Amino acid sequence: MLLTLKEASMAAGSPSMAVAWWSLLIGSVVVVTPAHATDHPARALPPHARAVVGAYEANVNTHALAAAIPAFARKYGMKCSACHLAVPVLNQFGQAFKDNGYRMKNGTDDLRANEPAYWPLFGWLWKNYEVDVQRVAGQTVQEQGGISNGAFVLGGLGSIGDKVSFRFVPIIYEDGNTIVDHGWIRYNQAFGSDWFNIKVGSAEFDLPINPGREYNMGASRFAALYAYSVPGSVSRFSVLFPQPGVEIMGHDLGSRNRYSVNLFNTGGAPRAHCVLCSPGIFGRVTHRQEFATGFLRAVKVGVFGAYATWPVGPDTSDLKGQRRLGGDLELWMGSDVLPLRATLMGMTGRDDRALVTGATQDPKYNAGMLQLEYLPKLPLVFYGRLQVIRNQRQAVVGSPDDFGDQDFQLIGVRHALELNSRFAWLLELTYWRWTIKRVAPGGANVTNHTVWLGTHLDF
Amino acid sequence: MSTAAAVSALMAGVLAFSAASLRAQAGGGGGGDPGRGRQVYERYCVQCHGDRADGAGEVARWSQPRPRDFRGGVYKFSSTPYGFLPTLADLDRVIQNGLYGTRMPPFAALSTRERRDVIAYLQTRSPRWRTEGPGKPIAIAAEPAPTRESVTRGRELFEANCTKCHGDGTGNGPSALKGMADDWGAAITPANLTLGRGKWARTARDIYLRITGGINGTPMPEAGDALSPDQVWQVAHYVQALGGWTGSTPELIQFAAQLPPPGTEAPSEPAPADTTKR
Repeated sequence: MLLTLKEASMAAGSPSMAVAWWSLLIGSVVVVTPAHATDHPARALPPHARAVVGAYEANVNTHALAAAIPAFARKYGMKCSACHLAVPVLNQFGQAFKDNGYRMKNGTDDLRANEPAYWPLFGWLWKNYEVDVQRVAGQTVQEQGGISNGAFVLGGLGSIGDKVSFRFVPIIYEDGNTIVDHGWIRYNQAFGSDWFNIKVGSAEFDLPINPGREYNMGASRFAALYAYSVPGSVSRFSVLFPQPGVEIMGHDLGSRNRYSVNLFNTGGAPRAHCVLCSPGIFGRVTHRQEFATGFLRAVKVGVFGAYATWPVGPDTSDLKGQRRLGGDLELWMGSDVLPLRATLMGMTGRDDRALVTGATQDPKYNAGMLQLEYLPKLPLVFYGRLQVIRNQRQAVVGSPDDFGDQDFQLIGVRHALELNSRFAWLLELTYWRWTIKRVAPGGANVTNHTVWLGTHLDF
Repeated sequence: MSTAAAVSALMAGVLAFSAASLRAQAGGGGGGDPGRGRQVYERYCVQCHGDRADGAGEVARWSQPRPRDFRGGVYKFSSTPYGFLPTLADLDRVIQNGLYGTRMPPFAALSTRERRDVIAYLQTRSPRWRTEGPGKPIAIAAEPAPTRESVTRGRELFEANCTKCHGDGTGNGPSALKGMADDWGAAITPANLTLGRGKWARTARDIYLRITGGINGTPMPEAGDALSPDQVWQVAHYVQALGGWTGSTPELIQFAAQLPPPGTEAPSEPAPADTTKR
């Protein structure tokens, strides 16, 4: 199944819908070759089970747009490690820089304060070797491996003046697909206050562990938690994907207290052709507390919530809701610079029953994640992650209680061969195991094992 | 053992090992830890200030003014008299606020411990810190209210003492035009005081400190006893009004703008009314 973005956009009905479709496209193109698709175990599944597996495949192959931005390093003369705990995960300094609209607020943000030759452009290039094994009921049903399609990203990102920042990131894949990552323009410090910044465009949500800054270079593994859809849901809403709309966010000096509110039109909603025909809202507040003594260096706590709508009728007059609520706790231990960091997050979701064909009750689920990161020295990081998703109430009465439940484990190591003020060169080895329960014929579990070895250039 | 259990056990093992490792190097909670400060330095500072803290990092060649060479223990901005080491609070202020218009950004997002540690590390880079203590902070006299009179008097003092380098306030004095260098041999220019803030200074109090204490390693001298505290405040109020600095009032800014620029001859009497344009 080889589709281009253009074709998918046409099929989806509008270019904006492609935003929500792009992961599905990449997943289809990169991994599921026609030969594999013919024998794919999901072919024999009922529709709502296929949706679960489809979502898994889409998520597993969604390339994360996460790396260092050497344009910033060139502009400000800093190493990538100034902003990144380990590329691409932000540290507190990097978080404050991002919250300021990618500004240092030091009189050097305006393009006129820089050399005329400076442009806020950067490039990313990655290649990887990947082995995937899928097992159903203990039997290997699919094996594939090889050097996957890489991509070149030529992005524009940063501040062009004290008041204006922007992001626009096109991605060109080796197989010819070209997509555009979210793009926005931000008005900084409205009314002269850091507490009021306005972003217009397709913006990522401020999630506890940002899916756009994923350790694994090749795929967005947070999809398991953030992009989970209850079995059989027609909605493609996910907090994982950037949503078109308006974001208002604010923070104090050093970004120790922050908030963000997104008003959006659910990306990809069919027949939603007006600005807020399929509206949604997302919000998050966080607080970071630092300690002057002791092993525990800092604690960050946050809560977030989202409510999105999705049309189920012939037009957008019949919208049905989906709710996501969550909280997170982040512990920095031992060191601020080379810490052991633990992030614990919980989330609950509830969808309207009308979003699931044949449903008789509103489905509910709970999800949790624990991530550990340890940096023994720059620029080396070890990381691991556990995720669980548990359906609390199935939409379709009679479905097994654990139908569609997921377990996810990941461990990895990343090392930067170069990390300077001009470019970064990264190496990574990651293994993950992902189990989706009861979705195979006969009610068996589907488990995927993947080993990922890749290299990434940011310049 | 299942794969899931194995992965979980591995994570737990890494957690225990790293926690033990970090706890072993945690050290005391009192003063800054130079060892940890070195880690902070390597993450945030080394690209400009260099691996040897000599101000010769990989981007130093592109930086104007040049990054500080910490080996000599000479810091441009402090609250202490000219030639003395700065206080720890002085160093912390520069780290937190940065130096406006230079490559030194504000590191307000760094924790108190990170800043304390990196200061402790910087103190190991110069032998001065082993033989000298920080200077005694300059006593700042109580600030009189800025008035038209103090601004006018400040302009006169500015003209007599500052125009050689700062010219009309924009940094275009004759010495500046001939070219100036700091003690490290790097070309520097006098501050443009009409911008409303300096690299370090933001308020009249900051201007007072710079006039009184000068700027170490540069041709900006300390006023010492040459100016009385009242006179220093008068110059500070003039500079404050000259560029619309924080704390200046619109009335005084407008008033200062009507005064002849320093370095020009003040009219001895009001110019005759021009009736030819009527």
